[in-house]
Amino acid sequence: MNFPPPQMRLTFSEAVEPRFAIVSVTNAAADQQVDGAVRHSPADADQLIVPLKRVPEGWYLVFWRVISVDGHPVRGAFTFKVGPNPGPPPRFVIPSLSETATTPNLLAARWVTFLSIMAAVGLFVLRMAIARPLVARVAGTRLRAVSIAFWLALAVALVATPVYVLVATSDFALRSVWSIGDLVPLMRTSAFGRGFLDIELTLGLFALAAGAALWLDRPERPVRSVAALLSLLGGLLAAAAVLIGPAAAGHAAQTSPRWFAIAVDWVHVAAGSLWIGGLIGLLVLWRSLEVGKRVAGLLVCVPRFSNVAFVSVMALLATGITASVLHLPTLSSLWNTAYGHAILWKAGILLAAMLLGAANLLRTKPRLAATGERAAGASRLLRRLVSVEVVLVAAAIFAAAVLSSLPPPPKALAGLGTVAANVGPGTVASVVSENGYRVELRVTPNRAAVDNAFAVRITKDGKPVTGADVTQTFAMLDMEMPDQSYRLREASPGVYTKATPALVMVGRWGLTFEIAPPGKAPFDVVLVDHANG
Amino acid sequence: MSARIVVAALLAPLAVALAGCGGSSGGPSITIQPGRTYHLEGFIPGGPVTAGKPTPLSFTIVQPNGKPLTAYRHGAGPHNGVHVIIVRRDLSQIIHHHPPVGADGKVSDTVTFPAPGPYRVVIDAYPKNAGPVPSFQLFDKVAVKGPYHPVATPAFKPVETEDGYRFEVAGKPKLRAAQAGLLDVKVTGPDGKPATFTPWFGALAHAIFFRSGSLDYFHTHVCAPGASGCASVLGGAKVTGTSTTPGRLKVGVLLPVAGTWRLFLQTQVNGKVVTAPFTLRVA
Repeated sequence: MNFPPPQMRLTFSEAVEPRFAIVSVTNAAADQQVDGAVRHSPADADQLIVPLKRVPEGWYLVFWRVISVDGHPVRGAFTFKVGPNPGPPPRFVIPSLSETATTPNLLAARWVTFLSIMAAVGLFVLRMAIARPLVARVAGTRLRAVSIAFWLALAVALVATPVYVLVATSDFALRSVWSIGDLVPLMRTSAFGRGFLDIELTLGLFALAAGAALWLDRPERPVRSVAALLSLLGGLLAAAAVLIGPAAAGHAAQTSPRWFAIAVDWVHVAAGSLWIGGLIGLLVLWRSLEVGKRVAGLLVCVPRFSNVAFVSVMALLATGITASVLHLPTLSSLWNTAYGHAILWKAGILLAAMLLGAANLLRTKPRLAATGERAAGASRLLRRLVSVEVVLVAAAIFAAAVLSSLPPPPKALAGLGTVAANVGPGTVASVVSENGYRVELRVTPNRAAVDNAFAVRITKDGKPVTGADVTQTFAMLDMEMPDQSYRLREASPGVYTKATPALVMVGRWGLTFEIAPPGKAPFDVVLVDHANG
Repeated sequence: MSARIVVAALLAPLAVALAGCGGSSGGPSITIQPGRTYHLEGFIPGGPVTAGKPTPLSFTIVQPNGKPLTAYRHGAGPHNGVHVIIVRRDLSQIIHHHPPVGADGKVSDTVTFPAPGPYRVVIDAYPKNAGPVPSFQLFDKVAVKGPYHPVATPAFKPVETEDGYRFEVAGKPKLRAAQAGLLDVKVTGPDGKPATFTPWFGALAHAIFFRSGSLDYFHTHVCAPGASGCASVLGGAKVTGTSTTPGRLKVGVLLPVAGTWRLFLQTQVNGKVVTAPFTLRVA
């Protein structure tokens, strides 16, 4: 632009909260040019207005960080110039904050929140439906212990949810967790905070509805009264409402088609809740039943739970795969991105838990029906297997907490196409084959914000490919930044080089080499390079 | 007993989470480090100089990596080496040199400033291993001792005569900011015949533009037919001029900002460099 702008408007793809936003505008000497507080555009909630000082001719670096609606920091950087003669573009050093929503504190708080909510819902269903016939069929048994476990899980959920929102908000706003006076208004204004406060509200409703249902239920009577049925319906509806919360506050709500993504997420969380809550409930039952009635009691509950668990696991698998397809831009992002890694971990842990579940279903359940010592042994084995299963499912929920804290892989990755190799950090010497060509890439020293030497040696059938047109494009994958492209120079036959500071920051870079050999079909080679500081 | 296990299992992680809270009070903050850029080092004259006296002018361009720039582009076309263009603030005086670059990257020149006053020095550099930008400009200033009597920028005149050569702009040019235009200039020699241009620093004519007041700088070239590497770039647009018949110059104009601009049209005729200044209004 030719004249100094009085302000800058940043337009985002969704509404942003200015109080969470950090916008820095600096000149080459790193002098801050922002003049006052960042505020919302009155006309557009997606737009932030950044007041600027009267900036002289020259180049400026804009670095921004906002909190997305689904609750993780999103960063970006770009440059602009003022005046007809701003001079050569400086090499700005772009800070690479290694911040995510995955700090240990946040993860632990998120995990406890998820685990307790899901356990509470699952325990409620176990108590009110799956294990309920126990009392009528095995004389002298009670479900009090399961009810207590349910109330405990619900109490933890009621405490953990606001604690999590507070911890997360303090992290996102870069404020101390103890400055509660500042944080509470932020919790209410951010979509992320509101989402979790909605969960807290529905948890409260759930507590009321579940309390009524438990109070009215007479498990010793096989047939429920109308009042009990109505209260049970109320409890289940409240539980269903609670489980919409994580979907509505998370990635699902930002994925289109929105209703479908939320529905998939809801089924996923509901199935997981039945599984984890039921498993915990079985352990509680095992402990609470008198030794003499244990096998008989389990014989009532385990087959019923197994059926529910089987359906839940199938639903988990189906919805998990669907959600992955919805959120992952490419298949390769499964192993190329942290988000993909979290999905793989979660899937692996769940698979192990499913194997244990299958062992219970096929081996332990029939043995329980046997008599004497054999059945008692089966019940002990069942307890051990279920304990391990609980740990595994809890671990899977931890992976889910990690997963939902990570931003889904950048769409930039999808734009890259098929990644031939992942390289770096450190000096790169990598060979890929594409279209019958052998392409050898060297990057030295492959460090951020310095001059890096890129050399591409292209050979076909052992002969150097000369006279090719080689263009290299740099795409930052970890944050929003414009791409840069350079033509490589043929330094020696078949070797194309360029020295450039294009890796302006630490992080993952998509390197695309568009190679057009003379008179032959052009082809692309894509690598993901990790540059260190 | 069962209840206690569940309590412990559910509360333990919560306790961990709460215990960890104190540590997160700091949080990350954004600190931007200074960027690195091409800049001038050791620019002399460092203080006021005397008019009418040959004055040494030298500097070194330092690259972003801290090393002096020693490798400049060579070859056909005007985009080579270093151009030093000096104008007085009132745009009444212009000096355009192509000083040599030493092995250590030091650019040394001798300049005779014609009259007292403040001058702007434009250093237009064409490094050999250019990055995304093929060339760049750096700026400095020189004060010439003595009373400064600024000359008001004259109004547009279609005819300028310099050293016996007559430059005539056809019509009254209508120029708009950021829009390319062409000036049709007829040049006749002292003998009244169309002038024959010989390439000077890769171009048949150099058109140097300065904006009155702000001293914003831009330049284009009039290229011989088929000349390579002659076009100038503004934004993504390439600007160039042509000359296919003797005595006629088509000067490409693309000026970024509205205002009064001064065009210094430099051509080499009969081995002599002639500079014709014109005033242009850009709407």
